Amino acid sequence: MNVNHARAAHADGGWGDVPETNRAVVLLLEDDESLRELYTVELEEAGYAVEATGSGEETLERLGGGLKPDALVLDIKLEGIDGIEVARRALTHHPETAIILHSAYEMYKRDFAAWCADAYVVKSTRQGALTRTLAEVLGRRAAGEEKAG
Amino acid sequence: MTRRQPEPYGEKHLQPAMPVGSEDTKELAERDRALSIQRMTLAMHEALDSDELSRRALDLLTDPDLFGYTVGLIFVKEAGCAELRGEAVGVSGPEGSELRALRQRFGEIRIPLELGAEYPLVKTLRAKRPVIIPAEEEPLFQDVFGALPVPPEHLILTRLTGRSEANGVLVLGCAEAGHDPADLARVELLARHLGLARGRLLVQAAYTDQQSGLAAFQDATETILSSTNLADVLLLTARVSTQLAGASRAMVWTYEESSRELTLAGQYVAEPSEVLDGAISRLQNLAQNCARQGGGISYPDVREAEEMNLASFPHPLPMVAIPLTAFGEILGVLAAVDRESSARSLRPTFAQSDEDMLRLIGSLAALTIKTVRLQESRRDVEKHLAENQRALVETERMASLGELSAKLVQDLRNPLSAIAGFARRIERSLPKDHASKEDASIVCREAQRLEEVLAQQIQVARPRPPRLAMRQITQILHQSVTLLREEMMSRGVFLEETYAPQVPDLLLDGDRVQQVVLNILRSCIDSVSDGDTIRIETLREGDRVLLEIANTGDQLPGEILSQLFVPFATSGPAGAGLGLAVAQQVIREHGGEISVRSEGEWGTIYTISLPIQANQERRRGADRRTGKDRRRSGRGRNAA
Repeated sequence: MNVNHARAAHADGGWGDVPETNRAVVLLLEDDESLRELYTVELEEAGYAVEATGSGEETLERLGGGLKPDALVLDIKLEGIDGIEVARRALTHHPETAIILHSAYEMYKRDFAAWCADAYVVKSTRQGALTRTLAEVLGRRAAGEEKAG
Repeated sequence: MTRRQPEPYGEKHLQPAMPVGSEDTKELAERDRALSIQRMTLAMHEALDSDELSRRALDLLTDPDLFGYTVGLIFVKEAGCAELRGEAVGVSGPEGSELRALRQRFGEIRIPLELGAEYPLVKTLRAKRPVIIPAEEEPLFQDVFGALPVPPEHLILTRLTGRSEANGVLVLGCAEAGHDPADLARVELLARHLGLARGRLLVQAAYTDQQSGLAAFQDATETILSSTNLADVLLLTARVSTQLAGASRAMVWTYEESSRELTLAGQYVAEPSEVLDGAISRLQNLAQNCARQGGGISYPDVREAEEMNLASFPHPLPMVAIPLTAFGEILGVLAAVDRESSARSLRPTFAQSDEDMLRLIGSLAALTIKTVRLQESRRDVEKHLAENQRALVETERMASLGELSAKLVQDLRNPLSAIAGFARRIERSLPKDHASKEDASIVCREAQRLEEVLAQQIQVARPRPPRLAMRQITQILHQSVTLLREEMMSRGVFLEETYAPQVPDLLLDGDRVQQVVLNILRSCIDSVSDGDTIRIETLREGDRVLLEIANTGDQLPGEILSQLFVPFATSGPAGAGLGLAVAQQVIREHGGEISVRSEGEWGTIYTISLPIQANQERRRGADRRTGKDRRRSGRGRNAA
């Protein structure tokens, strides 16, 4: 499961299938159960290995427990530790992990921590914004590393 | 002051004139005459006013059977007034029209004591005993005597004295040179009675004036101070002023707070006069002078001022004007004009006491004006405050409504995203010909639409500032069409696109304009059926770019067309409600106009007109502000 720096691909988008072992790992934080299920399936169908959590605390626990995802998809408005706080800590301890803030609220865009995230996606009924952005972000990161390497 | 009993003056002088012990008829007749004179002299004291007193005295003196003087003149001097004024004329024998005219003229004679010090008439004021002079020695009366049938040869001048000071002069003309010393003594006695009676009348009148003045003042004070209506206060001030000063009318001019011009704010007319009615604006000039000088002014006779154009006024026209001052601020002018007729018979001009009274009532009025104005301005301020408060509450309500609806939309995004997402999954999982595939698609589409409607709600309630960039309108149209192409195809709609080649780039908020185009296209899609056409066209017309989006189909009734852009109007085609209201708002923000009409087969034609000129100016403004904008604009154009 824990395979780093892999190029993700869109299942429907014609990016081509990626071998199971080479799939990028996405840690999804979403407190809404229905949406958690939806995004998990959608991301999996897009070729990602998805770990889903329902709270900020649980997410930090997973990160502290040795999980090294390629990307964090973080809901922001949560009970307890919110997504921005999770992003802030991840930025410090896991700078290699891409962070995508995923919220129904546009107002968090003004938060300083939100500026450090790789992307900010507003939840919508429109299809594919999250998977598209995730692919872009991971692609950008991979290109950057290749250049650096 | 000690009260002196009248001296037994009359008795002493009358006795030698009375023939005692004579039995012949002449002596009897003389005795009758003396008695008549005595009776009539005493009767003078019963006169109710000074006119009647003068008439009784002159009747007695010019009666051929009693004294028989050819002419009698009475001049009076007011207390504290340095002039002699013609009071009354009496002539023995029948009175012709010439004499009547003389009588009228006589009332207007004024002889300043200073100027006339050398005239016998004026000197008489200091003479203790009657003075007899040849008529020609007193040039003052020559025109008076010229009007008489028999001009007098000699004049007897006697001063009239009240209790303490001389209050007039009696002038008697006699045709013959000789004088009966007894008659002279009788005249002296009569003059003494006349002076005393006159003094008593003056005191009485002054007392009555004072009494009624005080009562009126008391009433006025109460009413003026309790009134909160400025017009009432000013009218009352004018009315009381006429009473207190014995004026035929009084006027109050006030300064409007905004200007430095006086306005007639209150007038009370005790005795109507058309001449004065017509002279108000000229009198106002005098009032203006008074206000400018800041002190009171008193004119004994306004007729003397040529510019007043009142020379034809029948009697002296005095005027007193005093400024209305409160807290050092001149608020207006109070003026009393013309003596009321009964007051005039006693004294034709206003006295210092009248002016004092006006001053008193004036300061009272000024205080009230100030108070009422302060009250009014306080009411205005309070009203203004209340309005502002209402507006603030409304603004806050709108703001919180905006916040609330924004929050609502965002809260709804989670469940809506879930609904749409799962519906799309179901749709995708079903084979193409499955009966439920279209149903799932509808769930998905409707969830999307719900989200858009809510987003538009935010736009109306809490519009964000525009984000301007150089954009090609054609590109925005292309993007919009792409987003909805599938929907149009599924509805079996034909699409016609005509884009003019010469349309310049415009400085626009691309997202918003695209939202407008989407709203209109969606409204068109909702109102067409299978086989209908939607037409999109751009054209340049002068300094504007026109963008037309039309659909074939039924024409909309006029009342619906007129309601299309009203937010939440329910009569429009499905989906129009809020979307078109937002469209109008956005286009207006871009300096443009949006309109809708029907024409021929085109049931609905939306026309958006955007100005090129204003757009370019705005662009220059944006370029000046930041060079970055220019670079970004350039790139935007190249990319397009």
